[in-house]
Amino acid sequence: MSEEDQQGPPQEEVKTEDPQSTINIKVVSSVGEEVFFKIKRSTKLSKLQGAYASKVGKDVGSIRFLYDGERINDDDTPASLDMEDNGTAGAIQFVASLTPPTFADTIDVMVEQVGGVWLRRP
Amino acid sequence: MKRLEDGWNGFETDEEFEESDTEMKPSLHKADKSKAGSHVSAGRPPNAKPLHPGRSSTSPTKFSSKPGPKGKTKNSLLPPLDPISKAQFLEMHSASMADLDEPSKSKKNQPPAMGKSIFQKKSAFLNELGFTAEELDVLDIEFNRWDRDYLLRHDEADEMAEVLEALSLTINPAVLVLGPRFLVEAKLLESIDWLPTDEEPIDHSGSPAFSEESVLKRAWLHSQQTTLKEMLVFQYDHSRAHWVLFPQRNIRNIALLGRFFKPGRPAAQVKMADLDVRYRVYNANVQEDGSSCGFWMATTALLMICGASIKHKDTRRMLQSLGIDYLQQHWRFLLTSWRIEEEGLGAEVVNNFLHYWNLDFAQRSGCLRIMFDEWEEENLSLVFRNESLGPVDLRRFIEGWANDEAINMLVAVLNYFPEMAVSQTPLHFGSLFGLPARQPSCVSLTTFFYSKLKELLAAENPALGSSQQTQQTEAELLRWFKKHDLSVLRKFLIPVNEPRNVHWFLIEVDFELKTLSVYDSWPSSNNRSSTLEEKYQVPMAIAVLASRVISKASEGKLLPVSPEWNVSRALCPSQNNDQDCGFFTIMTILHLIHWGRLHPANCPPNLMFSAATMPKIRITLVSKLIPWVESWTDQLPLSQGSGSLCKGRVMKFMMLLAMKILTLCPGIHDESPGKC
Repeated sequence: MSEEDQQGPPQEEVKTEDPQSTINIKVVSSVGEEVFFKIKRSTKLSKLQGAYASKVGKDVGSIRFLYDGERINDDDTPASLDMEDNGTAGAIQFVASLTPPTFADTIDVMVEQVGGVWLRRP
Repeated sequence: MKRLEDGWNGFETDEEFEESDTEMKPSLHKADKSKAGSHVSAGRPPNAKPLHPGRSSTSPTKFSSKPGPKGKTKNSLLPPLDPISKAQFLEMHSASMADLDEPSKSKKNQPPAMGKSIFQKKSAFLNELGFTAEELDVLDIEFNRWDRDYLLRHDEADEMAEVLEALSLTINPAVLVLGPRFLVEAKLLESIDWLPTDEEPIDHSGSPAFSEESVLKRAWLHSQQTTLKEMLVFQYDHSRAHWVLFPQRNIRNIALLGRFFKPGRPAAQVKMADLDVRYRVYNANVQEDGSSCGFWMATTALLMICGASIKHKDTRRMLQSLGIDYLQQHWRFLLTSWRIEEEGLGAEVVNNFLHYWNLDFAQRSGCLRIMFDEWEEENLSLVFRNESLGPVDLRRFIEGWANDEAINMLVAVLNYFPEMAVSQTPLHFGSLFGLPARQPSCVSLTTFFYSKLKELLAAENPALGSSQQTQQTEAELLRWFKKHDLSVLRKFLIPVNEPRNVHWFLIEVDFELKTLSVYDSWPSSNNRSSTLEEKYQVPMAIAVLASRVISKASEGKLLPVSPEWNVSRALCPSQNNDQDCGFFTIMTILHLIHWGRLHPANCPPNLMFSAATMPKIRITLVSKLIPWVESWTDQLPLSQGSGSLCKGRVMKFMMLLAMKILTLCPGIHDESPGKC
């Protein structure tokens, strides 16, 4: 990703969670389709949202990105949300290089929900 | 309050005022917004130009270039606001007008023909003074001919329809008002070779088929901005010499129009079999004399636009007690305001009339609409923690279906629990209604919890998923409870969107009382096939799953659903339309989270919800939500929000807007009993 995303919050554990390090993120739709992303920990997730939307051909306004059940803000980064590749912190690179898809942290994608009436379906 | 106003004035001067365009374009709201304070309608169409010289943006009236005597009479012709004093002006200049002195009394005994001759005399008299036809039109507020025996003229009905159409564009765009002139134009619609498209119809030369001033053109522009729900047609029934209002669509021309407005939309498809049906009459039973039907018709339309139904007995009783004299007086004011004020209909005259029905909320929704339009231009949204509502979502509070954003915002706001330790903690949302803080043992989950549980249900199905998938989804779901304190929580509210993207309702899982309750605002049918088990089969399976996940998240403190649990459909108010279920769900959450049950004895009147009060509740919810979220943001230490600096500026701007709406709608303040 480009150089403009340098303003990620400083990390306390610089050794293991360097903002420049990358992270695998799995984006799962409500019907179970999975898309993988590898991004820097300092990259804003809004970029990922845009990339995902264009990949699946949906308007970014009509889909919702959730991390642990909470909506992701445009300013959030993997670092600010404390995302991790699901290994222990020190073992990130190792685990990630072995089988990244299984252990990637997950972002849920939901489609917009609306409702007004219970219609009897034919 | 003084400071609030100051703040708003400062804001207003910063804003660039646009010249109001006299065309009825889809950009009407632009013209509205700068005059939001005093005018409730869009500007007039170009065929009724104002008299005031120099005020019109297109062609200022030139007095000096006209023949005829000059002098003080002209200046004094600038129409006064009061139509009665206009009559007095005429009397000053003509002895023949002397009999107008006490209009309502003396004219009662005159035959209508007499009124007409006076009108002609006046025209001749004014022509002598050298006025153009346009100016005469403005002056032609010959309301003195309106008396108990007066039958509304076609051109007057057309003008009233114009006024109402402009009003509905602002207040209730789903209603289209068509004057009697449209019937003539509808014939044109039949004759042109027109294909149902979303493009504006053109004639064979390629130019638009309808002229700028035509009713059809205006109606078409109106219909492009919104989905029409109702059309009010003024029609003169020649056989009965009677004005009637058609709110239905089952007459031939309306059917044609329906296709014209929204090609392919199901609502516009009218069964051809219905077309021969003569109109079914609803007799409002308010008219007492033989000729005032036109005024009742227009008034009924006005009330329908503002949300009062003529079928309601209180509405009729109020109309009867007002009587035709009052109605005519109010229409005099409305038409005068419409003709002489370039920006459009004055808000005051409309409210003066509507206050008999306590219909201020109609205007409030108009104010909100204008505000949301401004938010859209400025790209603003309402932000509370992780939730945000853009103008599109906010408009759903005024009309239409609720979406996940609207419900999740309310869920987040209602879940908010002020921490007592921090002295500066903002008040909770319920405090705006004088409510105590929510019950600590009850919390509402977001609308996506149910969706995620559905994934888990699918993963558990051996045909669809795998045990690995089940484990992973469950692990993910457990993390949703990271921020909930499961040691105190006993009751979980789960908003359900089922059938998907069609309906909202609520499931309550109570671990203490061991109950699973469904709160569904859709009226339960007597049909035996849709019993609880069948209709709510999937939601109930998912609720059981939810109890299992929550039990796991609490590390076994809470026990999942077992056979001794009581599963039921709770009694709750039902909706009477196909719009409101999302807001019934929100109100159910509000009640349950504060009191643990619906409508307790100490429920404030403005929070009692039913099908009848729902339109008002929706407006109340959003007009309380905006200032609350803003005050919450304002009290938040800047470091707490991410990207706080930028957001702070946006918030300040939003505060100004909120102040604006509070100044515009004093009713918002008055309503809350416990407002501090």
